[in-house]
Amino acid sequence: MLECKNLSWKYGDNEALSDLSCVFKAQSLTMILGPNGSGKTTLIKLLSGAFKPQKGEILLDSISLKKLSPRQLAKKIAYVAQNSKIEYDFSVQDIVLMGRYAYVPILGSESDEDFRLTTEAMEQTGVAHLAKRSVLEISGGELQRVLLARALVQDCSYLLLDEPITGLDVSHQLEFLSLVSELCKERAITAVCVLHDIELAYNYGDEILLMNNGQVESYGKAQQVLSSANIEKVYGTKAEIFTRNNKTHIAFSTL
Amino acid sequence: MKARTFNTKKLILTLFIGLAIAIVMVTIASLIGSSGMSVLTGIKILASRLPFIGSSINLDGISASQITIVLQIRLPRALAALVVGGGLAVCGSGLQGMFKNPLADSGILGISSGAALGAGVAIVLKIARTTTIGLSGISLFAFVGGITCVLLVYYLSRVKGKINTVSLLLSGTAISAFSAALLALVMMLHHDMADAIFAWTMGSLHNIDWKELSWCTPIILIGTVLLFMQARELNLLLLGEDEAKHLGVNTEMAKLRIMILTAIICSAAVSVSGIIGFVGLIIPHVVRLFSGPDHRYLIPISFIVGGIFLLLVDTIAKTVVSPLEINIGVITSVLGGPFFIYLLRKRGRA
Repeated sequence: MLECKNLSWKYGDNEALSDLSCVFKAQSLTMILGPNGSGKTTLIKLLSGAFKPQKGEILLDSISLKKLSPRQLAKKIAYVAQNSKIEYDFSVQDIVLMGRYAYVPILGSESDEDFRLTTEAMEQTGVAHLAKRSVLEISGGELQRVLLARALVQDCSYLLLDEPITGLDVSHQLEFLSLVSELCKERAITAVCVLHDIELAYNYGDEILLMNNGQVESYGKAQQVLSSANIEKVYGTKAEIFTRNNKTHIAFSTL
Repeated sequence: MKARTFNTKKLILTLFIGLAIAIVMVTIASLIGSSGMSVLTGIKILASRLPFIGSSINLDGISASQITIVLQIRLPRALAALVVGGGLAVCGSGLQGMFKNPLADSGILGISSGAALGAGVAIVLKIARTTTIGLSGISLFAFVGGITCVLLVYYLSRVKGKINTVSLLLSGTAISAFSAALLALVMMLHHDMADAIFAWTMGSLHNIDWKELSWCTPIILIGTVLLFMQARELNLLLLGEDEAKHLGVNTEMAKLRIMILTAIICSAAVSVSGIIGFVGLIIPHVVRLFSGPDHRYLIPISFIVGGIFLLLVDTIAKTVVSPLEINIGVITSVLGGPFFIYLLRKRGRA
């Protein structure tokens, strides 16, 4: 169980999170939504351990996150960052294999099991055919799938994604979110994903965490959380929600 | 394009070939010099020290001074070039990985200027005699100077218990400039010693004997092995500190270990050779071109290639204007300067 207890975070005098508490629903994909400056990225950075809470704490299976070493944390939480850029000529397989770092003994090297898991993750994310290719030569969409494969080989129960579809075209956005959704179900992963696109969050998220001014505005199923009234309150925009071909669409207009 | 993936057998084979080339190069370097000795005489002297066949080599007609030249001057000098060049190249590959900056080398942490200041102080205090550990006073002061500067840089760049890479670079630059200014002051106050200090800062291997070699070699070799053990952390640091942390690397500890190891290796190398610029910058780049960025290749291959490169440069230094010698640092900088500019321009275009 991933739980935030009375989290607060300030950048100088600006409060990004204010006494935020929530419990992420296990084995489901929670989409974090909210306008710019609502604290989404700060929250995901705190959950990933990149930031240490200034107040409050994060509990992972009832253990405080700050009590875990980087190696222990990497075995529990995998993180796919926003717009990751790799500037060095590693092969796709090497990048995915790096996800096994926490499992390799300090003076050891990767085992056959590490290679097997790497191949399996590359197959699941559809990048196995790129294994020997240089990571500098693959497209943005392929790179995101490679980074997802690397997160999977960490063999974690928790997966965090920070705006993972930024910079991808529409078809790759849909493809990536479908893949994340499928893998989370298949591997019983509790996933938390920061998104900007309300419609995609509505259609792909099992749960929605709507943030406003550093606090949780609402948390639950998309139908309850993403009501026209909530969207208008948080984003200051009118929203018309309708369903076509089993997909929910949202039309926005200024107030 | 296929990227290179790590293969232990390939690494061992590459190192084996590199070692064979290094042995041949050391042999050739031991046969070349300004004494006018024939190559055959040199070969006989070297062969007389080989196990099994050594006792059957006839050294009649070869003078004691010729034996001394080959075994006490040329051979330790050639081996020192191999070890010092290897050490400097390994430091460059470690620091470039840690800083994620291809322009980093041992000068960036103030090691070189700290060592030069230490050596300068030893020269003006006239403590050049050999110490009880077989190291000259100048080398010992240079070693201590290099390490002290790194510790100072580390202390200055710590913010809230963390080492900030940008602060580290800036502190290193500041400490380097400060040490260089102090050295200039020392040289101004001691005109008579200025030439000796200047010569030391230009680097040379001509005074290295077996005692100094046996002091610096284990430090450099053990340091290199320990740095090689950080290769996986260095690979992950190339992805960025945050990514490395998310994958399980204790980045603060890893950076500290890499800094300490490179400081020790580099200080040990320059303490016996003086400042030799650009080896740490050029070699990792050249090796990266054919080995890729994986530090499990980069560190050991840089050691071999750096050693062979410095041995080649030293052979040029002692033969090109024989019987005079050019300081080795002059040649490495003449080659390294244009290469550095090429790198900067290439980065600017990228």
